[in-house]
Amino acid sequence: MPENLYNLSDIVEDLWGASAQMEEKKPAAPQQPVYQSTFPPFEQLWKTADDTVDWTDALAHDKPTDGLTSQNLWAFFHQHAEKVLQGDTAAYVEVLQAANPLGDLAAYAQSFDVETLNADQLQVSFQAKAAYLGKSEGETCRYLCAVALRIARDLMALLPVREVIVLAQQEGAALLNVAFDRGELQKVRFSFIDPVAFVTACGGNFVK
Amino acid sequence: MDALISKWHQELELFSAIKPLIILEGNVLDQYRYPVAGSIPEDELVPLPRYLHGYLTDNGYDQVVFYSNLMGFMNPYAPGMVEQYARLAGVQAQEGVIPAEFKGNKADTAPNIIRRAMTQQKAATATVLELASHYIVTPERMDQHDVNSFNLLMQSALSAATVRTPMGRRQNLLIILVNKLNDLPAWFYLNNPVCKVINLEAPDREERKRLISGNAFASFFDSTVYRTDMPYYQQHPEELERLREKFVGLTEGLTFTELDAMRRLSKQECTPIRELCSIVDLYKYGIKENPWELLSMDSLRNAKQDFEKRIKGQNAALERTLDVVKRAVTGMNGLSSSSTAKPKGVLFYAGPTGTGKTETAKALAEKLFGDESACIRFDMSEYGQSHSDQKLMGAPPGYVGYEAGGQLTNAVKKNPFAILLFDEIEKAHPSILDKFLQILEDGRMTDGQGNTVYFSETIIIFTSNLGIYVKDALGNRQPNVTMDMDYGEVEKRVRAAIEEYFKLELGRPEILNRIGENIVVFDYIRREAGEAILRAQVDKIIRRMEEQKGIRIKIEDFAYESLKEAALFDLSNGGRGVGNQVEALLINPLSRWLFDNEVLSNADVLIEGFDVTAKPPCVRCKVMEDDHA
Repeated sequence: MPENLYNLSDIVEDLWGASAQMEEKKPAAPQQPVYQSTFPPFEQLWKTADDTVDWTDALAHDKPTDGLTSQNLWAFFHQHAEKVLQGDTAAYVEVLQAANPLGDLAAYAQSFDVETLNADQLQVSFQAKAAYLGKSEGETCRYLCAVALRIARDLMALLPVREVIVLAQQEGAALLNVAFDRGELQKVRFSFIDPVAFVTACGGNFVK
Repeated sequence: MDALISKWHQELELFSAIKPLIILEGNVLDQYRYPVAGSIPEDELVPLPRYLHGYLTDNGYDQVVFYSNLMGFMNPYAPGMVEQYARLAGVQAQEGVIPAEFKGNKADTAPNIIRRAMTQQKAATATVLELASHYIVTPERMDQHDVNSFNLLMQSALSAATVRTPMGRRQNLLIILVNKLNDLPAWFYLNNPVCKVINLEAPDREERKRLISGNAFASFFDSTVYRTDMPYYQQHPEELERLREKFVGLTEGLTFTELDAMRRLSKQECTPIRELCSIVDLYKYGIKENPWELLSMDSLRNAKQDFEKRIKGQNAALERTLDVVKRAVTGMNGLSSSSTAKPKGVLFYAGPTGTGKTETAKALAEKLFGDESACIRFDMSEYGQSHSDQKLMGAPPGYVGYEAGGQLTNAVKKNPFAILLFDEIEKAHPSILDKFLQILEDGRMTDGQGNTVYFSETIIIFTSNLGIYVKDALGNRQPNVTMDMDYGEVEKRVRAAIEEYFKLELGRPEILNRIGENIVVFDYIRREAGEAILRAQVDKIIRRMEEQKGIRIKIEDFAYESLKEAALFDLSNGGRGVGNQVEALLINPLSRWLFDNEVLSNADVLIEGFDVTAKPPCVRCKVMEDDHA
């Protein structure tokens, strides 16, 4: 398996590093949640996502067409493109294992479990991090939605699935379940949405 | 798939072995599909310089260097070649570039360097002059330095050396890339025995097809769309083939760069495979909704009845018109032709004046596009001069009015979904008919500013009075058809006269061929149709008077009969003639009577009779007291 195929954590770290430095220059706000000083904020989480893998280009060309993807990574995509585009779930699993698309979210959630239900659907469960929970119900919802949305975006960027079902849990108890439809996600301008409102519109079910 | 080698590539291969000076003109800024696997993968789209680099190095050239007057000599694909080229030419390269001006007195101007490289026999060199259209201001106003520079290039080619390479003998080559051949001085290439001009054209049908065949087809679609849609087309390959054929037809004349942009647009918009062709509209016109696709079958089913409310007594003409529209809607238009980029329909309306030709075009526009203003009318009597084509298509650069563009091209650019009505086409200058030939055949036209306008979503209607009169042996104008002939006879005679006009008088049978079987002859307005027109006009006047002034008008039956007899006495001027009579016999006298009797609003008026023989004609009316109350 090609090493370190699809890891954007360096870029994400750079991004947070920069924002952390900016935060330091501001005077401490007395009412800021505690987690902001110890854990990375999630307020930008749903606004970004991994680069979309162009499987049809990968099928058609054995060398990168975008000028950005490395030769190794493209070769891997090229090798798997036909099966992925046939909806072969075994190929999905291989790609997921190689790409580790949720690896860069380790700071926000843990125990990601991705299951390929069929060629159209993926189901992901994750354990919420206690540090982000409990300040208020609104903040908890916002955190869960931010992570869920980002997970859906990352997985849809990687695989040509129509739906991603996300289950958020804590110590075995369900907190949120929501199914994201690709068509809906494609219409959204992520910079302008409220993640809670969007998840609610997608039929998200918050378990109190 | 077998290698598909474009015509220009074959010419390059052929002539680069025997002519050291190759001028590539035309589509030089486009990308090209590399035909065979070599230093560039097969079928990859690459810019022309990269293509040439790949082709020349694959064919044994040791040094390939690109020159532009802004950058000097360089090779972004193999920088090391510049150093070696510099050594061969006896100059110094600085960081992979040999700076050199195109003209001047120095020994190290670009033409001098090229001459040294071309005449040496140590390594096979190819020098490609990029953007060569911009080295001099204009070939007509060259100074002596410009002339000397081109002279040196010509001498380089004339004395080009042949070099032995592991792949055989190679002639040192000079390749010049220009947008237009006349960007270079004519003496440079005309009668030059070592020069070959090769035209770079937009990709032909086979090349376009290649671009959407095999795995390349997948790259037109978003991955999810492709995964979801493709299984159906794997079961129905014939449908996929039809889709490809249609796409190939619709993209005629587009460059590789445009086709590639379309591919990316399709992917970005997640276009389903079945809607592949809609991306052509989106790319060309920037809109997603095609009014043609919004047309409901129900509205077309009732179209004839709707048309008959506006156009009286022209059953055959309406039927023919709707046939063309139905053909366009069902997508059967152009099935008999190689190009699907042609206009949706072409109609040639002929017939006596005032029979509803223009009105039919307007009614059609309203029916198809929901608005009469979608019928764009050009009075061709305004285009009778030989230079009138510039009014339609726009003046070329440097001429007055260049910035304004052309009336026709501007109109279609603004509204690509329209009916273009060219009234009285026989009055246009014959040179304009040549322009129409291109529109009818290819469905596109490039205006003076170089913008291509597409006519593939338009219906083009020509109207003409040809065939109504003919000239006798003495050159006198004689009626060719008369009202006492039945429609069949009128149609036959008018058609024959039109054919004679195009074939014999104009000497342009090819125009007639493009119109095909779409000549629609309008019948004379006969008595029955005249009565219907009169009734419709009188009713309209009565309705308007009531709506606008509150004046309710009634006409006694015998009075109406006398009006009818007078108005329909001479139907040779058609519906327009009936309208003129209504104006003269009803509108003018009635308004005079209303004014004289100070009946300006809210009244009931009974018209008791018309005195049509009076000068001017007058009406006998009375106000009906309390009748309304």
